[in-house]
Amino acid sequence: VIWAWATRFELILTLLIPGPSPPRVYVWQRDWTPAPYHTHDLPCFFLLVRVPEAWQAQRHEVAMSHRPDRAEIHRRALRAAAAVASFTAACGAADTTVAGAADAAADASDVAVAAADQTATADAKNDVATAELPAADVAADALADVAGTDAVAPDDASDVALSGDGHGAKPDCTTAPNGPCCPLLGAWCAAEYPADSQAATDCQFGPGFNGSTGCSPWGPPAPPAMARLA
Amino acid sequence: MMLDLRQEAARLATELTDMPGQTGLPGLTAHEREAAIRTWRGRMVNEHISARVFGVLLGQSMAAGVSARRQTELAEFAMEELRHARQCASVVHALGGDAQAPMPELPEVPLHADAGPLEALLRNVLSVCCLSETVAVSLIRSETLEIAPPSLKKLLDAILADESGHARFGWSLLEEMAPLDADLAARLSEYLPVALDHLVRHELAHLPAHDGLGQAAADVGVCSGVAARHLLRDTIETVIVPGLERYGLAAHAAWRQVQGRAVV
Repeated sequence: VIWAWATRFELILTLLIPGPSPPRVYVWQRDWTPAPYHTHDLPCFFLLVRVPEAWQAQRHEVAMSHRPDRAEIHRRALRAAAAVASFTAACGAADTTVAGAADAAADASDVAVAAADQTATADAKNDVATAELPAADVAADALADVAGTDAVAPDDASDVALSGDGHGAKPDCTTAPNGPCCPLLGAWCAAEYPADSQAATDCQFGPGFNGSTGCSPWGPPAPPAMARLA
Repeated sequence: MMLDLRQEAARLATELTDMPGQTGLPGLTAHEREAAIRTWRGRMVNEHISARVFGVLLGQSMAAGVSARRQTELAEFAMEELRHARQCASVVHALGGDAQAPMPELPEVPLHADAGPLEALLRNVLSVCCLSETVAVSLIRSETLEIAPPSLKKLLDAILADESGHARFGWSLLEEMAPLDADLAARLSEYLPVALDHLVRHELAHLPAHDGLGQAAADVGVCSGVAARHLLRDTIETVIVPGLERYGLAAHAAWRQVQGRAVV
């Protein structure tokens, strides 16, 4: 978009290049030197800059308009893994015995993301029409199972010793797969360190946190050598 | 020794055009930003060093005589891990962090001299592809569903597609070799408890203990460790174990053995 307008003192040429945020705005005077800002120009600049920013923010809101809840995320993540593991099932075999494989075929969008090869994706989409599967039930059962029956020792709040001063030792949730230990750790850290402090961040990220923790370690570690478990 | 990807990060970060705090978008608190930077910096390191694992698998695949196509795939996987490291570094940069970190200790990738070339390769493929990378697929998939900035989601989707390929390499190799010789299946079944135990210990040691740091942090990749642990267990129980059983490996027994150790 190119346009010009006259100020009280000179003609100003403005070039607005739309595109990725932030919009690029170039302003020159008649002699091609950068134009100074003038008070009476500000409304124009406001329109030039703020309106595209608003568009950008609106796009951002649209992108975030559907936030899946935790159960849906869990279910779709399992489908993606099942699509990868059930190699033949994702390619159309009907008699797979891999748990969750049929669920994977039922969700073409997950397979499309998870499967690297195009054949699997296309075949999985074909399977959608015929696959009516209890994926949600499977996920719900899994979640209920986790929530209801898995209070393993280090994860149980009752196992975290609290001393007489009411504050107690820092909960060690390193080996806890789920349950009340993690929120307890959060509360412990909040009581121990100032909010938003570096120490609070380190504390909440768990024992031995060294910057390598995220939601997933991702890259595969070196496999173990052969041994016998004790 | 330091892993320094600052130059590559600065170049690639120009593609991340809608990160929090950029023009017109809400920002992060210092606390959230620091957590996000640490998360992505950790991923940068893990992805970088995991390239060497596929390098070893490439050598093993040559010794085992698998197809040239599969050897090429393994070489590509190593390259992909290195690229993922640069991509994660770009997120660190876009969040205002420094894309460098100390290199951790690099445990040796076992060649399994106590086994023949094919069995040695399959042990590592089971551990890397069928276990670690399959779990990575479910965990990263869950993250892609939470990530908000479209450019960051695009980056993570690209990484997920690669990780899916890494996992499928293992599962498709099992499929290609099916039915496994009974003796070979029995020996691989003996390795499974070790591999599963290693997987669980590695994941639990790295997954954060907190239940998320809020929506703004989740938008940029810092999600709940509690949810990730649920997902880890369910991926093992509903995807990996049944999948391995299908190829004649005693995965149920192996998993029961690992659970008996009270880690999960």
